[in-house]
Amino acid sequence: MKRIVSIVLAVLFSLSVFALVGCGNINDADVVILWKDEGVATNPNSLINSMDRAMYIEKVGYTHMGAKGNADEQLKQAKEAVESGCAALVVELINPLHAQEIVESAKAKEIPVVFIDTLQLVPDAVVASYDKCAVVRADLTTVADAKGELIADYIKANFKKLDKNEDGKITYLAHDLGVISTGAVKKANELLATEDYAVKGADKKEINTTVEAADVSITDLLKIDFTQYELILTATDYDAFTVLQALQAKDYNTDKLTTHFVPVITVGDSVDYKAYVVEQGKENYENNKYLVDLTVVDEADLDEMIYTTRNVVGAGRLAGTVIADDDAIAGAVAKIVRNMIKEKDMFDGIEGVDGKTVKIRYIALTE
Amino acid sequence: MKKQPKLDANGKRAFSIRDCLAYAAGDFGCNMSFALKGTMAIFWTQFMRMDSILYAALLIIVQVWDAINDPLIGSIIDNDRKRKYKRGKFLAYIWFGSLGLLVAGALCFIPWVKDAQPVIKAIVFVSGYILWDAFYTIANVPYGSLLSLISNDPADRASLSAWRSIGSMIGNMVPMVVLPMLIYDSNNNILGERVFLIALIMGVAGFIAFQFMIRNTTIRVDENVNVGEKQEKFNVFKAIVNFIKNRPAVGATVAAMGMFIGMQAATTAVTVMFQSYFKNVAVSGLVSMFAMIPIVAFTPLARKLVVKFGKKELSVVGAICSMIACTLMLVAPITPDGKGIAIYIVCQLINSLSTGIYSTVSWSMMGDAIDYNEWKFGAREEGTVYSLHSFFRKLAQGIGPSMALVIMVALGYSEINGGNQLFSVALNMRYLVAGLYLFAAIMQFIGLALIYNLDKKTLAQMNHELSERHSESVAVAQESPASEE
Repeated sequence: MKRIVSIVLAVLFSLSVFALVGCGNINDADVVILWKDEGVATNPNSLINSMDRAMYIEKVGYTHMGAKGNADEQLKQAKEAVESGCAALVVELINPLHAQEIVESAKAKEIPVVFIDTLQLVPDAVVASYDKCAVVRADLTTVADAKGELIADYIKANFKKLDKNEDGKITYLAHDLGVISTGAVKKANELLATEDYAVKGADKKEINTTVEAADVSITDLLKIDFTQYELILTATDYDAFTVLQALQAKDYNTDKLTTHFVPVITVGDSVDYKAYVVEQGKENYENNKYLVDLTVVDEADLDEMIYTTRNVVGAGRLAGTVIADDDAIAGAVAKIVRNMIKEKDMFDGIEGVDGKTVKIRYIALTE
Repeated sequence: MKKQPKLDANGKRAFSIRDCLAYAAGDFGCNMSFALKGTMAIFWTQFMRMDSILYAALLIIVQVWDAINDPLIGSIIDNDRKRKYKRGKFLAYIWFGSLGLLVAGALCFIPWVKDAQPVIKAIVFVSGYILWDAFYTIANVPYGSLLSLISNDPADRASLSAWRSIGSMIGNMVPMVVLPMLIYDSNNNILGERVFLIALIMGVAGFIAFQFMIRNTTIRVDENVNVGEKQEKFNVFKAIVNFIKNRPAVGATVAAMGMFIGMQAATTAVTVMFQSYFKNVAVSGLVSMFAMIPIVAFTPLARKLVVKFGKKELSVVGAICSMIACTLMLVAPITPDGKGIAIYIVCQLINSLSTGIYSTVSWSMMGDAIDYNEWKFGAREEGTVYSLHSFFRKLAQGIGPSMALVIMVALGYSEINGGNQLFSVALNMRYLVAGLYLFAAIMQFIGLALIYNLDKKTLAQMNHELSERHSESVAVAQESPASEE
């Protein structure tokens, strides 16, 4: 028995030592990540927070730096990082005109550069000018499809509830001049057409192709009779908040009347609800606070909170939104950095590669 | 024609598997209510948005009440001697307790005051917990005493004890695996309203299990004999002094406290780790189930191994394994992905080996500690030793989770962020979990290896000497009347 115990303990100790050896970062010098804003992770639903996670998984040591929206400051930070001999440079670019200069300074010291480009600011020519440069983008061309899938999924799951007038069609209001919603509705109808399910006698479902595009002003929105709409589509989460404000002024999409609900599907998760509330002014606060379910929260308490579109979706006021996949973007950036530090093919193990660009598909966020 | 049950010498239905199944159902019923207790911190801080520090403070208050509650309700049951009950006093109390537990579990998870002022939420939490705890104790205390009333045959009692473990295991494991899949959404946030409904459903399941137990349990030992014994007056100072002198009792208590800190204090941190670090709280139940494999595997082997190697020796080996496993958990590259979960499971498998060994022999070690008291000091003092042991266990159960929550807040845990904490916080939780488990393992090691001094050889010597003393005293007692004559 003593021998068995000794063997077991020896194996366990060896495992501990092995584990210790397996820890630690792959790079001696830090990778410097330049953010356009503060460069501090305060919101769990943010790219910077996803980057912390991705870098930890890839065992890459790094430092965050924020330029607070100042493009010159960012350029200065990039040059200083290069001079200090960083392992790699990751840049969320503020000014496209600085892209080439940043790449040139890194190229001179053979430091890899990866751009995070959610707003499609980085010129392809700049990326092509340096073999150790890559760009990771949220692929805007996938927004309409992702939104269409979200609409189709929502309709499939809630058709009986949605089809208030029982005509077998979903009558929607587009609040975005029809650009993204047109493509999204087309995609949704394609997906719904392949579905063979019967609800109340009708065997195929579709969304009404067009109803009307509303004006963006809250005044006009307030004139709308929401009883005739079964779905509202907006192009941005800011627009969605405006629509919600109008809906809630008429006791829709609150906890007051469960029958008064029109699902709103939008794009984006960038709106800071707290800032939105402040911007709307205190007189509108009574309505705005219904955007989430914090019906008794004091305005002072909002200072300690981070409320974005995600929270409003989570609270059931919005049916869903299409967002950039932060985890996938950060994961791709961290993998490229790891590959380049280890002098492997920079796109080894990465999906969605197109030339020197990694395209990350938009994803749906629902309650 | 209906088959007549076999009767024993007293005309009662003879002891059979029916009694064992009924007794197992009782523990299953208790666990249907108890299983949700581990979810309370997440429910009240993340869903109800109660401040974590306030929750930790309230938890200590209700745990103090819990410690007072047990002897209080125990004495009410003990002193209830005049009233006659159809099925006996203990079953009657269990029936009443089970009736309350139908809804009392759900009272701890009332979701409709989510938007109320903090003071209202605090009142709802405290009153809900106190009601639940009262009904739980009313059902659980007589249930524990029932074992000695169903049969006075040691073999039957051993069977009942084993079946109780089975009932407990099923009652623990089913909710442990299933609950995380039901009460969290795809974003790893807790679904408060659903927790309330599930608590109600579990209340009904528990009630059915209790009714099965009540209808299939036969009391064969006179209840009044058990409760009519004179109780010694409790002198808290004398008890503490005696307790401190009793090394095995102190050692077993320190080890038990370690076990509870490991099992209960880490619960909330483990949940947050699965929510925010692994981003997959739904699998946390399955992972916990894997960790129980050594406990399940060890239980049938326990007796043989204990006879061969000794309780202390075996438990110490378990504690060492646990310390190594927790050190491994602390330093291993447990990354926030599938590979990390796999390493975590391996660490937990080794860690729970210690729990498996110790939980099997813990009460038996306390029995030896009482014998030690008699061996060294000439008096058994069962009541004082057990009550202080129980008090410190409760202390660990109450203070542990509260302290863990305070540490979580210090490490950045924010209830406002729900199931999606900052990664830096999630990483802290991953280390906190390993740290708490390691602390628990070290406490178990200190208790068992350094304080508990009854190794196999000493235990044999103690038992031999006590046996001789008992034989001598019996002989003296037999000689005394003759000499008086």
